[in-house]
Amino acid sequence: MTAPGAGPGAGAGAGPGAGARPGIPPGAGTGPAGPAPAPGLQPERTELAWRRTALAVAAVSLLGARLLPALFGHAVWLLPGLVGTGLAGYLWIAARRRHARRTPVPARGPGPDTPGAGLLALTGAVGVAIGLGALAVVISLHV
Amino acid sequence: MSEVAGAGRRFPGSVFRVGSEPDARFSLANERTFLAWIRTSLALVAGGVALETLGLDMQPGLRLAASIVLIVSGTLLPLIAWAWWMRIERALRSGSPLPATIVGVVLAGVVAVVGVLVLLGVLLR
Repeated sequence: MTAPGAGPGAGAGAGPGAGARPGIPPGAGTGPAGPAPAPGLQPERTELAWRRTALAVAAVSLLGARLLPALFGHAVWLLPGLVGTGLAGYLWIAARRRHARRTPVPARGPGPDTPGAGLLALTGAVGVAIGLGALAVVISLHV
Repeated sequence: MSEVAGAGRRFPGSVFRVGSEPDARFSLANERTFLAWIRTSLALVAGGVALETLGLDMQPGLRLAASIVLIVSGTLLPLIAWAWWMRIERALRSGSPLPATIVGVVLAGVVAVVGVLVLLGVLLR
C-alpha cells in the first residue's frame, strides 16, 4: 500500500488537496494529503516489471553474443545475441506503449480496457527460444 | 492498433471472450506475476549454461545433468507461465475463485535436485 507520507512531491503533480481528479472518489487515496496519483502505482510497477524483464533478455542475449562466437569460432554466431538484444529493445518500447494505453487507473472498479496479451505471448516465446537454444549449445558441447 | 476493438478481437480470444473487464489492478498484478516467471526462466537457463561453459572442476556427468535439468525447466517455465496467466485472467474476468498452483513447489524441488547434483559433482570430482 502507498505509504501514508506519500504527500507533496510524491508524483505527477498531485499535491495536497488535489481532489479534482475525475474518476477517483473522495477519500480513495491513502493519507491526509489527498488521493494518491494512482492507487498503488500499479501501472508504474507493471512497466518497471517489463523493464526488468527486457533487461534480463538483453543481458542473456549479450552473454550469448559473447559466448557463441567463442565456442563455435565464426562471426555469424553473433547473430542470435544481436537479435535477442533487439527484441529486448522492442519489449522495452512496446511496454511503454502498453503502459500509456491504460493509465490512469481509477481507485476501484474497471479502468481502461485490458490490452490484448500478444506482448506477453511474444515474451514467453522468447523465453522458450532462449531455452531451446541453450539446450542445443550445451548438448553440442558433448557430441 | 486495436485498443478500442471489441472484446473478441483481443488476443487470446479464449481469455477475452470470458466475463467482463476486471479490476485493472488485479489484471496488472497478474501480468507482473507472468513477467516474474519469465525472469525466473531466464535465470534458470543462464545458470544451466554457466555450469557447462565456465569450465568448473566437477564430475562431468553430474555437471551435465544439473545443467540439463536447469535448462529444461527454464524452457518449460514460460509455457507454464502463459497457461497460468490465461487461467488467472479468465478467473478474474468471470469473478470465480483464483485456482491454486503447485508450480512453485515443483520448482523448489527442481532447484533442490540441482543443488544435490552440484554438491555431489563437487565432492566426487
